[in-house]
Amino acid sequence: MFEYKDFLIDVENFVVNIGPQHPSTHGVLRIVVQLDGETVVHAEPIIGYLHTSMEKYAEFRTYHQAETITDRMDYVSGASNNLGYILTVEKLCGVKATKRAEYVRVILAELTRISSHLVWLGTHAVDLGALTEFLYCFRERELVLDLIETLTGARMTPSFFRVGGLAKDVHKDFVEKARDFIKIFPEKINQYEALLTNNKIWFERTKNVGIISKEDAVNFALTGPCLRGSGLKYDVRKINPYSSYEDFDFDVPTGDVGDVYDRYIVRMEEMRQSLKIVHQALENIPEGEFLNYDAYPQYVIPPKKRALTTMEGMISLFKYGMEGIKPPKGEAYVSIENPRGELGYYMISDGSAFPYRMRVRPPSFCNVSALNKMAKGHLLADLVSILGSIDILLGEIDR
Amino acid sequence: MNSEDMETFFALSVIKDVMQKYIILTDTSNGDVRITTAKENLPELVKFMKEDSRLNFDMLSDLFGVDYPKRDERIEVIYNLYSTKNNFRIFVKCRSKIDEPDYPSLTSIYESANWFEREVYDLFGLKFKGHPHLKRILNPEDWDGHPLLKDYPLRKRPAVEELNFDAPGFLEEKEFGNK
Repeated sequence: MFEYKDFLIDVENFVVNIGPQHPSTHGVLRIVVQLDGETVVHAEPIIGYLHTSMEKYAEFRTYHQAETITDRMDYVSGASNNLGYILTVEKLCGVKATKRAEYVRVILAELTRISSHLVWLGTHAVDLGALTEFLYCFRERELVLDLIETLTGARMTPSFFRVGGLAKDVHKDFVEKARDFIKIFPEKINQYEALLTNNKIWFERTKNVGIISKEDAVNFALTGPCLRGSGLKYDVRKINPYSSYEDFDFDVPTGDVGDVYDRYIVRMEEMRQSLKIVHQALENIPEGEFLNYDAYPQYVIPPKKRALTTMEGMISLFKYGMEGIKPPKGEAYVSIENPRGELGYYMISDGSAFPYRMRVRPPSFCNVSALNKMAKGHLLADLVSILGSIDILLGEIDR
Repeated sequence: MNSEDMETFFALSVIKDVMQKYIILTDTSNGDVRITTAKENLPELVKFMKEDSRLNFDMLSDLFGVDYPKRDERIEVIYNLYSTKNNFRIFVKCRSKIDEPDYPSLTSIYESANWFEREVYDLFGLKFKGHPHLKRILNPEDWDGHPLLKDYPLRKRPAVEELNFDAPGFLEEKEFGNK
């Protein structure tokens, strides 16, 4: 194959190494690009610089301890990752959460989607030279993180969900704050769009760049906005609704061509739809318990009030802490719609308190594997644009 | 049981009609459909599932390994196949020894198998026959052992003295690319 001396002499097979430390790679991705002049001939992403073997770690944690690992994979959309994990454990145990808990889960997951898309938009725009966008996005992201903090006590890694419900009930401050946010945010999205959507420079950098067809996208197992940008209306929330998503009215935006601009439009519209879902869920939160302890006392943690006032509650809290839950032998798969795509968990239980195997189906892992397909034949400067539009997150790719 | 599960059971019945001889085991617990097949028959079964017009499993959504050290064929590879047109999801399982020389690669059928198979090779040590670029993907090239095997300890680290930084070519990248 190639040796370094060849690269120095041969101009037609010029090789550029980007990263692992490079601002446009959003972490520690390394790309070896083979160039012909300034045109990309082959772009090979090299991953693994952040690999911490979280799937291995999960095998040595109890089911609830392993939950805290999941939000550290995709650290800008922690609540979404928790949701997928908890739904899988619930499927293993045969537990169903209460309606109130499901609505709060939806609110958190959608707020996380907004904050994640804001990070994407800010960094994607700053990669292409629009610095103002970055400052605007991080201004509103702060509001979203404050909201999540009011509800869960943590900004990015909430681990707020429990098998059968939530760790705490909703605080009334949260509802008020969230209503204020819903009022101001649509105007902010218009502001972001005013800067970019009809901007001539933005057009030049994104239109007809990084095109991937619908068939190729499916073949590469792309999901999320990358697949919907290519025109396939595939959204797990619509197709296999989980956690009461069938109760809410929302659209699934799609693109036509599958270029960087389409993926941008899809994500912008998704933020509006997410806000719509948050609004509906917030106004219709059902009354009732936030933990389904009465129905499944074997698997669900007793609420604090019960634990401190009744004997059975105390015993079961103690057992819960000392032994953890023990799902029956079996296997379960649940996939949810993460901000980056379809996030799936395949859990295998051997009847003990530790998962036998936790497999995470990482959306960005598949998405970035199609980078060569998208970048081939474009200019080197477009590679940065394409990489930004995939919205990669190395914590989850490398796990 | 909801309607999607019923659809998937329809897919299972179609596969059973045509490919009964290739199916060793069927498992439908927890609402998912899992079928086990032998490694010789795997490419043919998957090809049928992809190309049959009633099934159309066009996406290999996931591919991963599980280690069962007590079994004779200790690695179980699970293929998560999905049909975007019909909303079917079926898990195909296939067992193998670690040092199996003839384990088939699906890279010629699905593009996404490329990185997933590299990951299984990296974490379990299973070599896929016919893979175009079978190299470690998450761990460094010179890593010792395969971390997700059950007999690999959780906190194993390579001893520093084992790494010979002065050896010729240690810090150089030898080759790259998907050639």
